[in-house]
Amino acid sequence: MNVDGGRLPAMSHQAAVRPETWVDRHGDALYRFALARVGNQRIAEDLVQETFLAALRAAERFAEQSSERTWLISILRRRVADHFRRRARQPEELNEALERAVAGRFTAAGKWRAAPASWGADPAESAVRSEFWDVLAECLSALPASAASALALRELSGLGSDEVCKELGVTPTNLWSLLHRARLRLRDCIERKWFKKD
Amino acid sequence: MSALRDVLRILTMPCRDATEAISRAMDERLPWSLAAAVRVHKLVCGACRRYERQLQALREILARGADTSDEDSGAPIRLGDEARRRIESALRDANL
Repeated sequence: MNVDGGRLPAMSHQAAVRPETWVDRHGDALYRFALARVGNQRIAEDLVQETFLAALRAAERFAEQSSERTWLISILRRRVADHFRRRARQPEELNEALERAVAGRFTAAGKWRAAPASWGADPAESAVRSEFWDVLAECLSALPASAASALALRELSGLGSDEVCKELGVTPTNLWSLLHRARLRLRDCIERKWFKKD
Repeated sequence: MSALRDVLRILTMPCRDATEAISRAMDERLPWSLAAAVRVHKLVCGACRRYERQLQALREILARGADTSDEDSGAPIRLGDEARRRIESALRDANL
């Protein structure tokens, strides 16, 4: 019971916005949103932090009709778009290391040097173990930025290929090539750090 | 002769090209001759069959990882403790 005659203080913008609770209440959701787009742990964490700080500066503009989460996600969405735009202006990184790693998986005749190892009867059951997701994020973050974003947008965000092309400003042929290399590398990394470890 | 070339290409596809096509097939429908070549290749190549199964498994697993809907989905990808502390402290400093 409220001792003040049963009346709650009038809701103000200040009362509606509670930054001290943001990380607990929205941190995971915002991080997932960012990681599923940029595909890199550190960049996703930085974008979440920038989002909270931008929200803090704009707190008085928070329209109460949208939920706090929706408001924060809309800020993050703009930050992610800015991030992609900034990166698109930089010359595309030379994915030579990725190229070499992929080429190194096959002999000159194009056969596997070492065939993929078995992942057991039900690899999908790994998904229920929280440590698996740490390994996944680590392996994803080890990929070059464009390959990591392509894979994250396609497989974590579940966007269609055409939407991924638009988001990253690449042609379909570029995208297939990025995704192919990214999948091959991610598969190898997860096998090395997760399935062989068991 | 061109039909013979197609048949030869179908019969002699190396794993390097097959893996590329297996990945591409996850993103779009392959041209028929490439699709046929991959099918034939997989008949004789256990390693590429396994590769395809593992990519499909990865897709299935990743789809569960980052439910980015607005609700608290219980999705397993979470902000790490160190990042959580760093962000909380930045937020405290800015909110003084």
